[in-house]
Amino acid sequence: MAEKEATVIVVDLSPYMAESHMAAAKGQSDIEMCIKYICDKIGSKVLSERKTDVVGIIGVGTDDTLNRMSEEDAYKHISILFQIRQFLYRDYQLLPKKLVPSLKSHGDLISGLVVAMDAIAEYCKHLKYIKNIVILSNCAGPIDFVGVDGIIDKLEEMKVNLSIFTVGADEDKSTAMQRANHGLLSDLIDRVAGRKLNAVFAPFADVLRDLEIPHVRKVRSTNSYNGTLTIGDPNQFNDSLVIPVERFAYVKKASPISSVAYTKSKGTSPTRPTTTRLGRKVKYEITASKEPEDSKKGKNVREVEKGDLKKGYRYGASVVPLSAEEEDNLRFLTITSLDIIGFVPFDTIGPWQLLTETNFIIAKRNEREATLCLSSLIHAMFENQLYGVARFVSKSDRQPVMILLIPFITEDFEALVETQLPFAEDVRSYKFPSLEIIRTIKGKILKEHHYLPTQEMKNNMKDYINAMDISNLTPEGLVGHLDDTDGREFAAVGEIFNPVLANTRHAIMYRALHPDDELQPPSDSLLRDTYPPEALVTQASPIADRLIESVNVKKIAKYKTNKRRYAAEAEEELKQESILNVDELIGGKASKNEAEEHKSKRRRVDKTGDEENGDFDIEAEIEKWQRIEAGPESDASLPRIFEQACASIDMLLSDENPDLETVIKKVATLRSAAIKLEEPGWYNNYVMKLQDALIMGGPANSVRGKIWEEISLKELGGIPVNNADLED
Amino acid sequence: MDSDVAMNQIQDMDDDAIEEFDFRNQKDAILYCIEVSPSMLETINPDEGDRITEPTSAARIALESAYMMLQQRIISQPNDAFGILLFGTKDQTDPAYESCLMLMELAVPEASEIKYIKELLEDDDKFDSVFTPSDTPPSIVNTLFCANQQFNAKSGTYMFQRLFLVTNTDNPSESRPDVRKAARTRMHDLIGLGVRIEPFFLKTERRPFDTSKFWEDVIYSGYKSDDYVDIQPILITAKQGLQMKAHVKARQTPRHATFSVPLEIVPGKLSIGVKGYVLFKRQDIIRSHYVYEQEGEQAVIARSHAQYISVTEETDMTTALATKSMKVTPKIEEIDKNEAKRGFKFGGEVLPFTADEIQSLRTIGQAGIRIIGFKPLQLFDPSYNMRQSYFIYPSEEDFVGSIRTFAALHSSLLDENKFAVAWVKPTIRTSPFLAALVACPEIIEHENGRDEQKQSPGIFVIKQPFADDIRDFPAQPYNDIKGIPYLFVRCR
Repeated sequence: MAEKEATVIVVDLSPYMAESHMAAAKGQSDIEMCIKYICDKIGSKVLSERKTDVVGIIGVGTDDTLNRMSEEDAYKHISILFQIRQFLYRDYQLLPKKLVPSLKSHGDLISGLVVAMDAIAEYCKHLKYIKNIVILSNCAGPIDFVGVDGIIDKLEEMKVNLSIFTVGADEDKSTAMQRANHGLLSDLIDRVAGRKLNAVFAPFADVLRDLEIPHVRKVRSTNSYNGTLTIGDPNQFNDSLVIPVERFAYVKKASPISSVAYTKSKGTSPTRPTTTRLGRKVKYEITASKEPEDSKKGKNVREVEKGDLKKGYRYGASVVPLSAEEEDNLRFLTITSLDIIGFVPFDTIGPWQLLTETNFIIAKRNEREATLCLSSLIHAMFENQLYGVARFVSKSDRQPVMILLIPFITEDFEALVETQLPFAEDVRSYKFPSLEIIRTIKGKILKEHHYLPTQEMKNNMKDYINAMDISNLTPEGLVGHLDDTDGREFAAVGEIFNPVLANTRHAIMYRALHPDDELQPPSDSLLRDTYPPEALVTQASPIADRLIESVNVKKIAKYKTNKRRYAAEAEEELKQESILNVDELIGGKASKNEAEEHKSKRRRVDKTGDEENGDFDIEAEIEKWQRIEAGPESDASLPRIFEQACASIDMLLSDENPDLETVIKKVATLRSAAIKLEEPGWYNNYVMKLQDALIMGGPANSVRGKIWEEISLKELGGIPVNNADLED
Repeated sequence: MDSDVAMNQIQDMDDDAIEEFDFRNQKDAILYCIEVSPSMLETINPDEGDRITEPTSAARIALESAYMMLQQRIISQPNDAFGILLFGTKDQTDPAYESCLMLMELAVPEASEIKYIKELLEDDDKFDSVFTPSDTPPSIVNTLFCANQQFNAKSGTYMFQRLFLVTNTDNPSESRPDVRKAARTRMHDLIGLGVRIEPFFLKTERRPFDTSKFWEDVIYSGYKSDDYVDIQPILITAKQGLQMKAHVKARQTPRHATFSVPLEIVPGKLSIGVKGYVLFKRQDIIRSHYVYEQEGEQAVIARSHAQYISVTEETDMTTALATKSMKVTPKIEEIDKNEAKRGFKFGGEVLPFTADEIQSLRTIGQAGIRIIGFKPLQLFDPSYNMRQSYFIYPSEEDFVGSIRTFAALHSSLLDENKFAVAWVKPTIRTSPFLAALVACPEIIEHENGRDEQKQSPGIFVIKQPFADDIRDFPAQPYNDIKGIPYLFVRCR
């Protein structure tokens, strides 16, 4: 458990606080800046829901006086606005309303500090607490430093951490009073720091910058394995090695705050929350196959009790119930163990094969011998550049996993880092074509092709990769020299925070204070380091431009097509074929069988010789068919005409050197016809095949590739279909 | 509290959700077609001196492979459809399709059907009676048409449809030249239907298989640029039935992209299209279901659905005092779905957020992969592993020139020994993360007379932790002790 913590914030509420002294605040008043800080700090505590992280707030310069020393004049106009407590929503929401500068009253900041110390002493008594006092002020009013010595002694005795944050007190526009107070407060902090206490003195600009750094919740890990690491079977061989070890998490995903279901509470009571969280109850229902007694027709769905259910497994369409005992018998029994099976050189395991988050394996703490032994193993592995491969059972009867052990050595910490390796069935052997060569249909190997990069492209890419190296940046954000030791690694692991976590926390706190406002977009600072550094991009831009020119990538103005939908359409076409008298339609002698072959563009190519001239005027044909009374047959014939038009394009393409212009013109006509007919699927289907034919069909033929590029550039790609249709 | 009442928070979508989608909803259909011919049935004897291996035949090995696959899939993917079609048999299921025998209809298999296949494999007489070749060689065109009908009948039901074609005939068009054209048409029709064809061409030492005679032309004509189709023949010996099984196993998961996004190389100026795949994924123990058994009836699966409930602990002290008991039973009330709202807990209350707001907090930015910069590979630390990697490969679908640009990036990363640091958001509904893009080379090994691609060329996207995800080193009281490797070497 984390230690108990009590924090008291002393905030200056004298009339000056309503003014704006801080240049960076862009006109926002000093109190507004302080509220930002207070809301963030306290908001984090509210979110953490820790009962032992308590806060109090003391206002200095309030019209009223509310403290235990109110008898004395020095403590006038100092009020405890919030007694030390675990902050809840109802307190938090009041913050902006309570933290309003007075119109007339002034209080003394040092007296405020004394009230804060008194409050802490009263709350914490002699219990062990981390005690913090934070003072927020613009130092614009007089401060009485008499008796500070005694206060410092008391702070030391109580072991209080003191922070003083000043708002616009040492800027160009600051008053003499502010500067003087600023200096004196700074001295105070120095003297406190001299007593070996945590003491921080900072201008508010720094504080705000600090607030931008997301808050990381420290998690104290507990061990997830406590056993032995063995090499060799100690039951069989006496020279086998047994080291007592423990396992702790190293990298573990910090999950975002989960949302919860709730409903408005019934009845209002000032002491109860207005919302009730909801739980879930799982209900089960079955579809009974038998007709129910009361002979209602149809399927009978009814609810069943969980107690009446058994565990079972699906076996295809069949269901196999399994009793608890049977299931127990199936369990693979294992014994807790971590057995190193062997060692492999670093370069034999690709980092992409690792499956899980990582853990540290360290020697059992408090065992010197184990520490020495494991350390020797770690060093031996490191020096020989070897990973360990081990079988690991974290708890008895859990299934065993294969793990990789990586030697991990830093100046004062050594461990083996463990992560899981895949079993044979965890590897999907998808295969992808080579990126270096193209194999043609006839097995010929091509080294030049518009899918393959030229030497120029490769050289440009190499130059770009080196120009955009962010491993060692100078303070200006440019690539540093290799021997530059003060360079910074940009976007280093561990420096970028999860924007989702920070954004969610921020949004919750924002909603708490502004229940009716829209959420704010994530702050820029959150995502700043997820973009390439600007200075570097500017510097590398000539190289980048050279690269861009050489690779000549063109965005295709086309929408994603839904293959399944078009497959269904193709099927529809197939059905239509059967009701057609094709002879009549095409006017040729084609048999039904051959008509189906029109679906293949390649067939078309083959037939160039023995079929009639391929000049096919689709517009005229469609018109002709539309003139015939719209019977079901005439509609059904349209696909055939369309296909013939496609075929006529294919025929053109079968030429050694197809005429680019004519092809493009024909494709454009085809496309507009498809739009007119409201049959985008026909065209999209064809253009998909065309793309393949042009790019894959004749790999070496660059003219064909060119045609495809032209088609995509002229935006003759697939016809966009209503988006609603695409999402399924 | 009643164990049925789960007060667990309802988990939101996180970045693993894209895979959830894939594996729960994917429905796969495989039609396994085996040629039956005298040569497929020819006895293959084990090597001399090998007394363990039994004589077998290509057809038997094919059926064994199908059975093995069936056995695995029926448990791991019980929703998937599977069918077995024999072609070239004396019998036929439908007179319209001559010599085509549906050994198993393309559907979710029943236990009885699986048993039947098992019986065939165990009973030679049964096997022989089914695997009786027709007098004339089978028509490949007719077979493909029959397969088409099988898929067609349930078109739209399946996400992936595949045809496993097992044959040892390298030129079915020998007698009739027009067969080639017709076969190509059928192949196109199948591809048009969304069916992928996985050829398994078998050869034996005595019977070679020349793919250039017929199949290259037919198979390749329908494939796309990023597709990889393996048409190299597989050598079948009595012992190498295993090899055939390994091939079937390797190809049993359909290649399927998990996401498709632009990869930005030069900010604002150069993007290419890539698709993401999951190549490593733990195969979990299959999910058990709650089933309901009634006497005399088959067990049925009970569907579960969650009901929102509100639990009010009666903390009213007056009641407690009245009953003189502090043990209060919680009052459970079912809440209508429409009454339940969502929000975040904050200091004892729940602050309201709309579903869209919750979603927008999780999914910052646009889907895509943005390269932030490059670093030498020695700065990559595998100790920071978070989850299984994604594999990306270029696609020309959205950007012409993607493949060559990706290839240039791929080879440059390998040559310069560097990796790219990137900001990755795979789909619009997932949270972004930091990742290392590590290139891996293509590895081809020559074995059993075939070139086997052992590793595909591409780039792996390896998720890196945020500052929030890294834990402190655990305290180690003796961290001053430094081991001496020599000591350990001696220990060994």
